[in-house]
Amino acid sequence: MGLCRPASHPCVAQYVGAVTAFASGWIMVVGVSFMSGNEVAKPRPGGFRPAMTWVHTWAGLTLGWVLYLMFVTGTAGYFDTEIDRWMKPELPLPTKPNTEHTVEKIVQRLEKDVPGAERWFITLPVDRNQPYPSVFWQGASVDQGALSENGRLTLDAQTAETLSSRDTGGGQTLYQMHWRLHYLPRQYSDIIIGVATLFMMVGLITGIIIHKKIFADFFTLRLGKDRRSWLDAHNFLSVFALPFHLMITYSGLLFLGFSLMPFIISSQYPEEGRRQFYAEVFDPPGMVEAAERSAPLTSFKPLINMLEQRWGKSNIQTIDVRHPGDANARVVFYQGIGHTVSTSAERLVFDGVNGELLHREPASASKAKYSRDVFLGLHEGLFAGPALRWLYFFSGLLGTGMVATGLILWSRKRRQKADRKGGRPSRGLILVEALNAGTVVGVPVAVAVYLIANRMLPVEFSARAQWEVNSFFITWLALLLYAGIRCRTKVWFELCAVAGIAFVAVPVVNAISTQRGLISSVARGDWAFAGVDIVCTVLGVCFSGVAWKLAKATKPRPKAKDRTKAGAEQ
Amino acid sequence: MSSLKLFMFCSLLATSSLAAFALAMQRFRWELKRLGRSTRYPVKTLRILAWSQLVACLAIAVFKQGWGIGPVLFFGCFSMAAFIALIIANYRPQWLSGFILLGIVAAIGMGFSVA
Repeated sequence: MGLCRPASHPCVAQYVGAVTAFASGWIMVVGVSFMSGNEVAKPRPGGFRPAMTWVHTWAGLTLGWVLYLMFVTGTAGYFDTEIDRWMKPELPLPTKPNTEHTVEKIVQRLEKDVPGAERWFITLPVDRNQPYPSVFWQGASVDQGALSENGRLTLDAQTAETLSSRDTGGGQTLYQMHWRLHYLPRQYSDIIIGVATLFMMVGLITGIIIHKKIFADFFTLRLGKDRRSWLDAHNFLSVFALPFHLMITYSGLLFLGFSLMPFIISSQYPEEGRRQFYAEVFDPPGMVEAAERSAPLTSFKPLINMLEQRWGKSNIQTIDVRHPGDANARVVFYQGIGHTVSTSAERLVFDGVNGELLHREPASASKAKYSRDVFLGLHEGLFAGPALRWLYFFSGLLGTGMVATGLILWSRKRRQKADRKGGRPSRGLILVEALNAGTVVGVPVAVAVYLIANRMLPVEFSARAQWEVNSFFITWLALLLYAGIRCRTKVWFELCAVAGIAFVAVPVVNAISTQRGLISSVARGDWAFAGVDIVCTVLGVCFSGVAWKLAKATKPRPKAKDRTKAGAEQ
Repeated sequence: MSSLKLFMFCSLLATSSLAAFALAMQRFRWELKRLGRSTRYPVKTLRILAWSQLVACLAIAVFKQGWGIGPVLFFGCFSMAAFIALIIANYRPQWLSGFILLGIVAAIGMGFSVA
């Protein structure tokens, strides 16, 4: 019965989660192939390549819809900070602050408002990833007049006053959907996402093996040939960004390494558990317990001057203060990571009372951890400037297209076969066709609705952040159901038309509900804000264009007999 | 040098390179023949030119941005350039030679400001 208590037995829970995810994956394979009523449940004879084709097909399809959600939200996640800002229209344009002045103001504010805290964590606006300073604190004394025991605030860089905005999940929640299945506990969602990523890796490797003419077919795009066209599209979307796909999948697996391989940690830390492991790997060196004797906190001014000489101007990303006001206070400075691919940089630990340098930890202190950090940095692209960020976004779109075309290719192949044979198509095919239409178009529509919900829900509504997310999943579910009941020849056109309207509505609703419409944002030079409006408009136009094309393609042509009759009448 | 200029430089060079690869392919030469255009391009020269441009693109990206960010920029530009070359080759193959020249000229021009 211990298995029912995942919180107290995370390793067992993860093991159960892994087994469940694998089992559900293969149940899906067997289920769909059984419902398809054909021979696909076993690999075709004929050697290695046909066997790999079978693996590629089913590894891609089984969790393809989860992968598609991951690609859409992950691609949007490359602009998470910009979406965050768009979803908080009350916040002013960020300014480039003077580090020394900002830190001084923030420390004064924290000393006044959160007395007795065990820890302050101050993040400074050094680059695009952090437009405003923010603080969070732990263990403050409410009896001594603290705002709360634990808390988090976004501050003004000049005055350290609180910047308040509407309650929203913002770009961060949208990005989190990339690696967390929103309504599931973390340990289960990690496993499902991990298995989906593993399947993706299998799909990529088997895809390389089965693609016989990878160079000869490099620029091949045969249009208007149904299945052949979908295969060409799937191939070029996969091959053009193959280094990106391999990197993003492998680094994605590294992200989930602790969840996918829990027994390695539990075998080395049988008593202390994961907490001890994380403390050893990630905590700054030389942290000590509080002495319970008060002592004034050292001045940050000389430390900042010294660090700006060492790291360059405005390159202190984070200041972690442990036991402020205690004789054992420690101040940890983190270098900004904008100059490196890795997600870690140098850390310096100072005595919080006399300002003496106690420890210096280079980014590459542990080679294994540094390798991991480089892969995670490549995955997240936090180092990327505007041009490189757009390239990441473009590569993400190619990946999204790769998954979508793979899913559609599966159903087109079987639909053609079913049409040739005549009679009723299998239930598996009907299910996959509905899931394809409801997901491939449904997820982008859900993203648009998520943005619109941010503007439409009342600002004073207490659960608005949760309902933004609910609106995302309700939209997706509704479109899945619609795709399930609607005629398959019309559903793609109708859903694309809905997507076109939804995306075009985003900048319109924004202009109506705030003072920061597209024109005003461009005039103010607020490109983060204008960018979201412009991208949504472009997506809306693209979806409308696809809908128009589909409408033309699905329009019934007059029969040859009717055409002859009409010609004779003329 | 600004990263935007380097991005432009790498994108132009990569697009020109991939257009050269496409033009060296038999399929697009047949297509050009069908359109009544000249197909007397030296295939070997085109391939050497294309590989040289790709190597130059990677070398400059690494030289300017280091081994961390340089390859990321190169592969990003490569993906985008491949997509552009695919569209040109399949919809307007007669533009391929123009794109090769344009890419080289623009990259040389941009190269002076990059250096």
